[in-house]
Amino acid sequence: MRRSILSSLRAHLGRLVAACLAIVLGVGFGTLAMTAHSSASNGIDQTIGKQNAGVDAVIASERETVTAADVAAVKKLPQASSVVVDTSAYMQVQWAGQVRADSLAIAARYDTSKIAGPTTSSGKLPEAKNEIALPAKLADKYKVALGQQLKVTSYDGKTYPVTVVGLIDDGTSIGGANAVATAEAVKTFEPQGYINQFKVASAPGVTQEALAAAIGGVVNKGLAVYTGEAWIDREVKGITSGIDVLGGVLGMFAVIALFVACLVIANTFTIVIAQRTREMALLRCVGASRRQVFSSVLAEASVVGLVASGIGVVFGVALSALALTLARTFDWGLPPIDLHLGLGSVFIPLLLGTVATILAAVVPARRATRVAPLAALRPDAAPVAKSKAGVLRLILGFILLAGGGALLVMGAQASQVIVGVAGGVISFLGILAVGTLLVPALVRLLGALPARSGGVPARIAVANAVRNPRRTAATTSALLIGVTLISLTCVGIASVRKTFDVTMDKEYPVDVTVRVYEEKMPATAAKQLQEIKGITHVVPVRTATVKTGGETLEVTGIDQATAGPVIHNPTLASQLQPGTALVARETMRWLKLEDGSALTIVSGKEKLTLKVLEAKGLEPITVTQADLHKLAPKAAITGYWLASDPKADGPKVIDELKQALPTVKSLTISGGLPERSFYTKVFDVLLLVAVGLLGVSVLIALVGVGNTLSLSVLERTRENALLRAMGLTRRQLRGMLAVESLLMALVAAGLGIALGLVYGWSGTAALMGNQVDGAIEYAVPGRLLLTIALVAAVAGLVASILPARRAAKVAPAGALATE
Amino acid sequence: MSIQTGDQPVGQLPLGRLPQDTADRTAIRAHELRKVYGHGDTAVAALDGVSVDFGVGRFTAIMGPSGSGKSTLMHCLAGLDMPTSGQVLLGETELTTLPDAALTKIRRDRIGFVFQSFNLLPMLSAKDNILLPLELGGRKPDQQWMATLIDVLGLQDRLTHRPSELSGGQQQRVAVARALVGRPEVVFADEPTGNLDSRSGAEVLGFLRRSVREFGQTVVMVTHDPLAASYADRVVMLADGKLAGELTDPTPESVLGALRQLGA
Repeated sequence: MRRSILSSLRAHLGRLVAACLAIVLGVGFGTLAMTAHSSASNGIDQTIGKQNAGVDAVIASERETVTAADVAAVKKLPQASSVVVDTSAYMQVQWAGQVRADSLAIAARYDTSKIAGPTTSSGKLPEAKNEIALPAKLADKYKVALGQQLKVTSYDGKTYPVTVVGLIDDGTSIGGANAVATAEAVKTFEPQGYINQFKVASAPGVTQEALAAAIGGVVNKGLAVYTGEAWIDREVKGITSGIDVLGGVLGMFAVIALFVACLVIANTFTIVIAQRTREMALLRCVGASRRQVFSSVLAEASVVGLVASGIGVVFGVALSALALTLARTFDWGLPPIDLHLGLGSVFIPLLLGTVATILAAVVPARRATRVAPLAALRPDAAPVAKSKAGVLRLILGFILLAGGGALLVMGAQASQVIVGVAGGVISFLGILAVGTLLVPALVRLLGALPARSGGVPARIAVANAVRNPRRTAATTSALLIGVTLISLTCVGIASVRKTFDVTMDKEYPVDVTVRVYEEKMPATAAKQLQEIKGITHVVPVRTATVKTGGETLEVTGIDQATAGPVIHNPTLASQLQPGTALVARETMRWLKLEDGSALTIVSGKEKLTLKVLEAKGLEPITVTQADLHKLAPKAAITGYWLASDPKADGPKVIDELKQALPTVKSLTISGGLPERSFYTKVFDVLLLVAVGLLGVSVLIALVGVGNTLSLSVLERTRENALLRAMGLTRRQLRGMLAVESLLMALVAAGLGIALGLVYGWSGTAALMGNQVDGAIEYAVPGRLLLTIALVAAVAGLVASILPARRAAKVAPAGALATE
Repeated sequence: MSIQTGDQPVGQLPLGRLPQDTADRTAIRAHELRKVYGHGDTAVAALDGVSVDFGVGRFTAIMGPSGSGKSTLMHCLAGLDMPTSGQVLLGETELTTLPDAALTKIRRDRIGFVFQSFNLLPMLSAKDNILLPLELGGRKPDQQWMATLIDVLGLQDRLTHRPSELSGGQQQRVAVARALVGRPEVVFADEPTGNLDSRSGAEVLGFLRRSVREFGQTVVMVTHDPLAASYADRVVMLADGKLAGELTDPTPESVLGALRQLGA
């Protein structure tokens, strides 16, 4: 039997290549995920360990703050051989070429004889009070060279000249590094220096536990005392919890990819075995038992699975190595990580890939055992795979669909994510089960148009596509999973984002406000601001100091006619009318005002009574420019409210604003833009990552489409030869297969997008229901969904190229002659 | 199909010959055709210098033992296969120099086929199968001609059926209708009765002969069955890739005799 398996493998290797490709992709992706995760955690372990080398105990602020007395007490302990204090001064520094000063944290240098500390990549650590070492990346950003003079300014306005004597090696640190100065210098910069924590090295022979216990006895009870190991653990966990989540997500996507690969493999085996019915029957004729046939198919699957998984693992490891090299070369802000191959990250994907292949082959193998020995003797040239839409399967499918749908609605209404997810999975299984009915129906529906207008080839293509409903459904299912998940992600993220946007508009109605205090806005300020890329609207505001009751406060005035575009909350924009004052909640509480009560404000001899309306996110008291003018006719422009282009790079706009209006000494910038652009960025990255990862499963599914098509082409060699003899041109034949492939791809895309909308919306409802007080916004990311459909269509066409070329190559005479 | 005597086949109509002048023109001509498979020592010449003419409005049978090259000859004549050397002229058109696309169009518009294994498309109805070559070329069927064909072939009740719902004889009659519907210059029939029982076979042969007599169709048929060949006006014998004689107005007995001389 073994010889027969091997020879049949050799003979049919070509037909299994696509299945192998699906396994390679799935396993490779899994390996990549696991290797990336293990390399990252390993790298972090090592980096944190290196940063804390020599540390035996750490004392950090918890309920109480670390004080100098605590440090002094520990220094007296005989168990402590070295005590270093982590303290820093927050200074302002004026970089060359920058309009305004930037803040800089300067850490105090400490004794590094026993405990690891910052090291320099060039130059030396500061030794004198007027010396400083800058992080290498920061120095690079602002083009600071060794020996250069800088001025640092403390918050109480004292300026100190310092010389840059070294660059801190920040290539291996996680997060940014601090600048370093001598302890004396830091003490001078900020006499009331805040101690973040201090680290202790033990005397010889003292364990970390003994040291920590001794320290616990002498320091303030409100402080947290860690042993060195516990501290490293804590630091590592702080970073890796994020990586573990990422690893979990990657793993989930890998499982999805593998599942899709399973569908493709099962489908391939089903078709290949259907085509080998005669061969199987012959084996049975000459005395092979059912069990032997079954195990021969499974043995074939194991060999294929093992070999393809092996290639997949190698492929995945190579890909991880490449990714890590790229990360190092292009500096993605990650600490450099070395490739770390755990046993698990190699053998788990290998095992999973092999087992998945064998499992996928079980059903086709069982079908192979049902081939009657007589089938070998029947004259039928090409035995066609029987495809009955199993009634039981359909019934089960409809039950799953109904049950899952009900759960989905429940999950959305009750904001229960788990119920919603369960409903989604169950109803999707239902869709897959009724696929043998649903998919051909949709293909026929969609095919009606080309069948009517595209002539005979198109009609035959439609007929071919629905000829074997189970095969078409299986092929489409693989693609359907990927498209559904991608659409779901797009719709979900778009909906969450829209919901967030509306919430943000209420929280921060104004994108950015710029403001000066105690100095004058330059006359050309509006023009200068308008020239910044990403700023769409600039509306001036004036302020006046007024009195109400016994209190003195500031009133801001804005022209309500032009304020619309910069106030994103339409309710607020419409409430801003002469006679009303939009008052912040804190101000209302302070002045003991109610919504709708009257507020009388006085400025000099002028007096005005306004109706109070509560407003979130504007100034303490905001009135119309007309009302402000009545109170203070000479009020000057003290700031601008800006609206930004939602597509603009928020941090960049803020950076440019910080450097804008060079004649202004101190410019205060606030508003919702930083937070908004942070969320935008998070959503963008999330979308990109998810779509990229799911793209792998779509790729695998497309391999499946191409595979089904080329196997079908093989089956229809005679038919295609006949059509060619009848006068079908090569181009028409290729077009025919393209239409068939396109139909399958488009049905998968259409169904997937429809499901993605349903799942995305109900998912958003389940997820956000408890998070937002306002209504949930349901978005239709039209352009994205259209792109998905388009990509699927193009990919479908691409998948048909190879099978079509193969079909067109067959000479009509040769194929007709083979009986 | 075995040789039968005495049984008058159904559908054979005792009609007189068409005027002789149609037979003087050549529908298709092969000149010094050679077809070699393989290279060097393993090279086998399936056709070894065959020159033969087929007259317009004539029913010609090509006969010969297995491996004599009769199918290869037909494939080359029909533009399904390229000869290694030599020429094929369909009317005024030289087929052997044409690229695939042009050949395909010629097969579609100027040649009809009937195969041994019917070769109908399983997913199309009988009517759609008949119209296939016309529709591939975007031509409209001549409704009157279509009606005549369906009537003569007795397919009125079978037009909406799929091939799997038809008997072998019915399937082959659909195939004959498909070959004739476009009024091609030549109809090639490759062992058209090979998969049929004797009665259905006789019917199909009768239709082919009737199409020649009544409608002036040119038919070239490959067969190894002397009784089938006896329906033809002329029999061309082939052996080892070469012409090995011919018969006019053959009878089953004369064909059998000629075959015996070939040593088949």
